[in-house]
Amino acid sequence: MRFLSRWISPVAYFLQIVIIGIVVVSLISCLAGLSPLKVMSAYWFSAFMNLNNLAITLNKSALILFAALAAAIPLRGGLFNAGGEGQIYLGGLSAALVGFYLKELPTPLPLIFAVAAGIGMGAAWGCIAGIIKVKRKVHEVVTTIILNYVALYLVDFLVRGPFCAGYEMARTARISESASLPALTIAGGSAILSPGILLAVGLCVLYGWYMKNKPQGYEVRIIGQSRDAATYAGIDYKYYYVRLMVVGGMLAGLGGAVDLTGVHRTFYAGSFSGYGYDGLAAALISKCHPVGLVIASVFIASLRSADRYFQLCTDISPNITLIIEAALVFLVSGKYIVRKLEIGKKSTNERN
Amino acid sequence: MTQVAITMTSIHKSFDDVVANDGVSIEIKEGEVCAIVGENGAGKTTLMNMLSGSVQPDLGSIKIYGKFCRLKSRADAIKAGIGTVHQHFKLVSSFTVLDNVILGHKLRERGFISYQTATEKVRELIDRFSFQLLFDEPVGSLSASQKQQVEILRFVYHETPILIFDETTSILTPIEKERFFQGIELFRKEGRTVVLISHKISEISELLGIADKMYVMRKGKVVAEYEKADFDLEKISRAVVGDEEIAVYDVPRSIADSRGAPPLRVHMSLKKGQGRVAFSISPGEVFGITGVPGNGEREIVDALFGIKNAYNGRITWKGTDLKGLTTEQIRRLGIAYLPEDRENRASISLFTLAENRILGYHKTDAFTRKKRFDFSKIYEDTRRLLDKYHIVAPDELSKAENLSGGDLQKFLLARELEGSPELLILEQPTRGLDIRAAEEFYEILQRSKEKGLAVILISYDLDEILRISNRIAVLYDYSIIYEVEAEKATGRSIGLYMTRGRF
Repeated sequence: MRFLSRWISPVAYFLQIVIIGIVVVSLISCLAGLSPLKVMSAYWFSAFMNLNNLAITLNKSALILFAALAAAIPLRGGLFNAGGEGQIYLGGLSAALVGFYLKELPTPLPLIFAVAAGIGMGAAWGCIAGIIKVKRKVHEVVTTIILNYVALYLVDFLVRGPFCAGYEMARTARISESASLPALTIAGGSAILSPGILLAVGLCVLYGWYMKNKPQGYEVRIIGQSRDAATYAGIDYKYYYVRLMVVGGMLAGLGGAVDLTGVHRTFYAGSFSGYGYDGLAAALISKCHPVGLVIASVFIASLRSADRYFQLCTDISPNITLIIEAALVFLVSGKYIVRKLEIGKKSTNERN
Repeated sequence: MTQVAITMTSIHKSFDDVVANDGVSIEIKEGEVCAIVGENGAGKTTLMNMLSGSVQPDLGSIKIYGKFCRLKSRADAIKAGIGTVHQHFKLVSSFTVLDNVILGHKLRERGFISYQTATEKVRELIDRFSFQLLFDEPVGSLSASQKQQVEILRFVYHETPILIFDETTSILTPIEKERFFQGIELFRKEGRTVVLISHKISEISELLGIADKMYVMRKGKVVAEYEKADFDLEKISRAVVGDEEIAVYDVPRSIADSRGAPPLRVHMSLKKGQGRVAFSISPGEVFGITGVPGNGEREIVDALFGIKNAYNGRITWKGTDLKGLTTEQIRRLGIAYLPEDRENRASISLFTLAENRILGYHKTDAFTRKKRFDFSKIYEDTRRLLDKYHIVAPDELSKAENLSGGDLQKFLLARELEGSPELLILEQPTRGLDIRAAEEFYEILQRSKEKGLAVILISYDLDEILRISNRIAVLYDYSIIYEVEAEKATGRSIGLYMTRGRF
């Protein structure tokens, strides 16, 4: 029975989300004077129904899943990492630059260095927020959001200025073949399928396993529930705060690097916009459940694909996908926010 | 003819599966002092919460001064004339005494609060009750008994005719308690109606001196009702615990093994060299530390358990200086600690029992293999604990929040004892437990004491301190100002030192 309920409750949970989603879509479509069925079938086609679209959706899913992990892991320890956005920019740009300038090295090395650079930049960016949190008690939401803007404008300046290599669009120089992730080209289509999704799902499985089976994962969960209990159990939560922010940054940076080396292979100004926040939304909708993270990321990616298709091929306003995503986050994560507040209330009698 | 102030008729209330009140009827006349006694979980607080508007009855009716009332909020209750002083104060700690007292009052002139009128009135009230309060002091800096006085003032100021005191005496020292009862006499003279709630058997005799009427509750029902004329301590005590005999565990004073040097020696000063705390403990001994909460007991525990190192001086455990060691290292040296906050510090209520079993011990070889959790070992050990200590729980995968307070506390004690510590720090270990659970707790503890476990007992419950300690120390302003052999101690003398003779 217990085994069954462990599996039924997440499934039931996602069924609820799907139903909420359908209701929201219908309501908004009706308000906009469109047929809900037309909107939903357009969505389905544009996100999944042809190999080309499917590949685009999966590539986007990978990036969102990395960002979702970057938010989810700190969240398990009670930290709200809103900095995925900036970490992705920096990860992507570092990979682009390293991949271009180190092209002379023997084959796997440029790729390895490019990805490592992405991870390193993300980690450094997360580390700043973690250290400020521990040393100066500044809330991580404030620092990560500010750091996002620093990253956004810094990256924009670099791509449009010193490292600009494109003429028709602001972008960096294309990375060499030796720095690219091998990807599958879709027959007869223009899209390529990056192996990023496999890597992201693999990390997601590892995350689920780690949280349950490793003492360190257990310690993170204790910190997320009660800092008081963590202190009692002999856990140095300040050290974990920095580590969690670093791990979050690494994952987001890795996401940017993998997407860059696997899909576009050059950094277009503005191309990573919004993925960090999409990942945060995925983490909130799925309440950090590993299977849920994958489903939520694919779902949000599919909305993004639909967005593009609506814009190009239909008279449906692409904003409808944003409304759906926002409505879902509000409706679904509301419960989560309520619980988080309750935990916060309890911890007012913490001693530290 | 005296009017009836409160009538509650056939009140039923249940929370999920737990029946808190099962057909309770009470009647309290105007100007009467009524006591409601019963063990923890007897349903007293639920009943009173209905009068303060925070809980609504499932069935039954409430009449205040003969009028049917539906109290849906605290504001409703105050409007109906009922003021409740809770165990946990509902005050704004950054506000002054005056601001807290006039909070919510409509004494205004042209839409503004008239501070002059209010100040005069509050001053006069402080004088009338001879409270030791300054009206412009921030409430956050007050002691617990002073905060209680602010709560009382609030209702007096608002001219609330009915006052309910929910376990208010439990935080007071003996002298403060006397003062409190004097205040109740004053209320009686003014014609106010007073309801006193208590769960302590030891307090019944004091309540008999002051109450006009007493209700005894057990398992959600009123089991007995006495008028002043037929008060009888023995009959009432028996009604509280019920017919079935509960063995009041005769805690033998353990014999301290004073051969050889005492393993724990503490010689430190907290609070930048002002306070002085010095004591030593031998195996098998219980060292009781008491005092008014907030006088340094937390800092002592933090220092002993490596949570904070903000002290001068030395703590040595079997010759090892504890300064600079982490909590994990100290635990490995054989020191265990059971904090007061069971749900949020000693355990995590949303975790399973198995997960709580390993809290603090999660890195030991007993539960890990190749740096991973060995779940079969963890589950098996948790089941063994549930069995060995007769803990009522469905299984090792049920959440900690589903256990009763007594079972959870037994489980946590079991967890700490299973690490075979040589020193155990207990903080308010039986607070909120019913008598049966408390006795079981002492019994389990006794078995370990006989094997040489030394115990530091931090408690504000003087009965508990006097009953199980060998030696008792009183903390005042971060110093031990009094230390006495338990046989020579009395509640009164300890209470005096707790407040240093000051109220």
